[in-house]
Amino acid sequence: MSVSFISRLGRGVLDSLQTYIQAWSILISAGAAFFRLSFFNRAVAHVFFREVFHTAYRSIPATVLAALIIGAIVVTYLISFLTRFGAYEFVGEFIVIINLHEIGPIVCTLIVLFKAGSRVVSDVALMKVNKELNTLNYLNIHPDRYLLMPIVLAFAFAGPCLTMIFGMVSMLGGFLILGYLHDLTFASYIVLLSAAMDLETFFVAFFKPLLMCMAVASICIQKGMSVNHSLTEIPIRLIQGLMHVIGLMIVIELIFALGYLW
Amino acid sequence: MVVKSTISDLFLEKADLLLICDSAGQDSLLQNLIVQSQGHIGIISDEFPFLSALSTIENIVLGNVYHQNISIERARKRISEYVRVLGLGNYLWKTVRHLPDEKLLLAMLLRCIASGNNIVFMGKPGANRAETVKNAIITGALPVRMWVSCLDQDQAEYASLGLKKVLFRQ
Repeated sequence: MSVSFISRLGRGVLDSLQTYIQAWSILISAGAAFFRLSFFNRAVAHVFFREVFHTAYRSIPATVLAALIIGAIVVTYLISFLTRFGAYEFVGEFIVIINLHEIGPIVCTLIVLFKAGSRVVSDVALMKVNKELNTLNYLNIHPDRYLLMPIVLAFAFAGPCLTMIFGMVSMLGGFLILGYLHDLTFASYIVLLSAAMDLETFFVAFFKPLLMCMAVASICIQKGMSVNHSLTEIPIRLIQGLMHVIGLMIVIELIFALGYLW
Repeated sequence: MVVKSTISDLFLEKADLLLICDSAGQDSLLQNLIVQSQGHIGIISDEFPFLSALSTIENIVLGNVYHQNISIERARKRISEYVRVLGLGNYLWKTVRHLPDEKLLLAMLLRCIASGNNIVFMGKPGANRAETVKNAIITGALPVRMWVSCLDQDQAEYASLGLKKVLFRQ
């Protein structure tokens, strides 16, 4: 029984490792295509803009709604805690850190994952099962350049952009609460926030969602590619992909936390 | 019946050909050789379907847009005469799932022409599909020759096409 347990454990670890290794190689291929400036090719640019539309543009309403609600909730709790501990003057700093460093990147990555990641898994799986990837090879079109790179690039574009939108809207949501409860003017609120913003804020708000969304893209492509025979495999791969993405998000979060401590 | 064993030998034939294979293995070998010819011979086959995310015209000119880095509009203008001849004008901006089977075949034929192929190959297509393509080539005076492969026992099915019979054997 213990042998069977170890065997299953080993298989699980190897499967996960294989996923991460293949996702990494997808990122490398997409990176190589990017540095070959493939995005200047009209056919590739067309795919890129289509992916940006589906990944970034169509995620904006969900991001705005989430940001407004989360921003208001965060500020409500922050004021309650900070007032209790007599640290109200730090409210601007906490709003910026919580919204742009932590909640923004994670919420935006999750929105991208659910809205666009699932679509990428099913699209790539559909292309594979329908033999559309054969067509690309037949036309001598590199799937790395035509398909993988635009998807990864669109996700990398969507992450930071949505996080910036999230940051701005959530701060607006915060103002609605602060302005209502504490008679704070909008100008004073902006001064409060701008004093708390520095280069590090923008660095984290840019690179954290960038890395997380690239991880989402590569895992979703890998899961789509791993569908072999039938479209019924898609939901299974999708759930596996979600777990792998969440694992990678935690790793990226840890790296940034360690960087912050260091 | 003429016997040929390589693609180069087949290129020497100037007529439309019915490539007869005496076994499924030979037919598979022939199809693989043709696929590996990398663009010299256009292929009309379900093995190389149109991309479902693209419209018909985008699929037809995908190779041109990618390799020559030209706009879809410019690529479309180059083949506008063939579009008219094949009656595909109303289907160009529709996705593939809205294309009737016959128009899909013609669109695949047009993809071969747009890619600059002067030979189109159909592997065991069935008489009706082969006839549709053959008629389109004749009616439109299209600048392509046609190769159709079939198994020995099925050659009677394709007799009405009037293709020159060649036995392919390696």
